[in-house]
Amino acid sequence: MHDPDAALMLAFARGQEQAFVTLYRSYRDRMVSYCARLLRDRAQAEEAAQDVFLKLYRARESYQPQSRFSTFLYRIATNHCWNLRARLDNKLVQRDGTTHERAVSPGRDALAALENSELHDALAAALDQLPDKQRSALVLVHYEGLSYKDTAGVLDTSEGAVKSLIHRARETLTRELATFVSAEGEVQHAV
Amino acid sequence: MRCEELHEALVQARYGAAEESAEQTSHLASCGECRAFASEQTKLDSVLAHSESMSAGPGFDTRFFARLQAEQASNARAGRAARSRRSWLWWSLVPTLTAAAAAALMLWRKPETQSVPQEDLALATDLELVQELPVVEHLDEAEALEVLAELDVAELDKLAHEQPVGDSVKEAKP
Ligand SMILES: [Zn+2]
Repeated sequence: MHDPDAALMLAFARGQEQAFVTLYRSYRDRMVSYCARLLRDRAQAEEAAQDVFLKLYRARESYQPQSRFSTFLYRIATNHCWNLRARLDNKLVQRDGTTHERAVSPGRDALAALENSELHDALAAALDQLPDKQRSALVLVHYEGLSYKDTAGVLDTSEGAVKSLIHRARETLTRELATFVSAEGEVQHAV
Repeated sequence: MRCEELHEALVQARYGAAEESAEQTSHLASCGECRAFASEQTKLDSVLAHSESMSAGPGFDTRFFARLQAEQASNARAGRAARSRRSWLWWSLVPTLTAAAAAALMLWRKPETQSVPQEDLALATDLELVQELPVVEHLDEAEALEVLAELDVAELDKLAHEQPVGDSVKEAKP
């Protein structure tokens, strides 16, 4: 498999710091965007993307080019964002002594957003309430343009499992965004 | 073909993970439910397009490279501290070895790892952990090599690897 980014990572492992800067430049915006879709706000996403590159920097000596470099990097980002979300949810539970509303009342955020007639917010809320694995699979395939095979590599699962995750995610989104997705009407745009 | 199978196939085709078969086309032509599903999926794609991609905001690079630099600086400090801890461990072994064995160990390690780094020696001296060092220094090389020949090489190898010497070891990697 010819993977110029893996070659850059190996060059970095051999001490060429410039190779790291090249990788950073080429993946920076993709990582910010990916983390933003897995997390909840921009500041958090930027911080998380920086964490991902720090982890990449630290991983230089242990890096093994067994899969594509991008798969390796997306895996770091995915695990990091999942951990951050779990930590934030725990904090919320500890603070109010109740389970986070995302877990007890699925669809509440989406409904609130629908009342505001903002498709953008409704979509963000609907994506937010998907289980981590479904959200990651959908974002990787739909927005990041990864193949099912590479997505399976990132999520450490089978291609069959990815198919099922995507299918379930799209089913949930169709249901949650029913106001906007209707077989009869055109897409309703937010005012 | 069942409707559910076609729904899955349509989603996979959307992402280039499958190609539409003749069987699917004919099912789609004759099944209102599947046509409605296909249309719904197209609409969902239009909705999904409302999540726009982000890029790094102003100051992102500055903040990142400041964090990286801070980490490198703290690693360098930690590295020095770790090396001084390793020095202590290594030098604390000295009294348990014979002076000659210690000398042989140092000489034996020299070609690969430049022996004990100067800063470690300075630190160990500061900490008065090298009472045996003058003895070590007074052995000449021929003498030390003789001692080396009598020592268990595997034992020396083990000792040498218990005391890594930081960067010089890393640089030796291919
Ligand atoms: Zn059908």
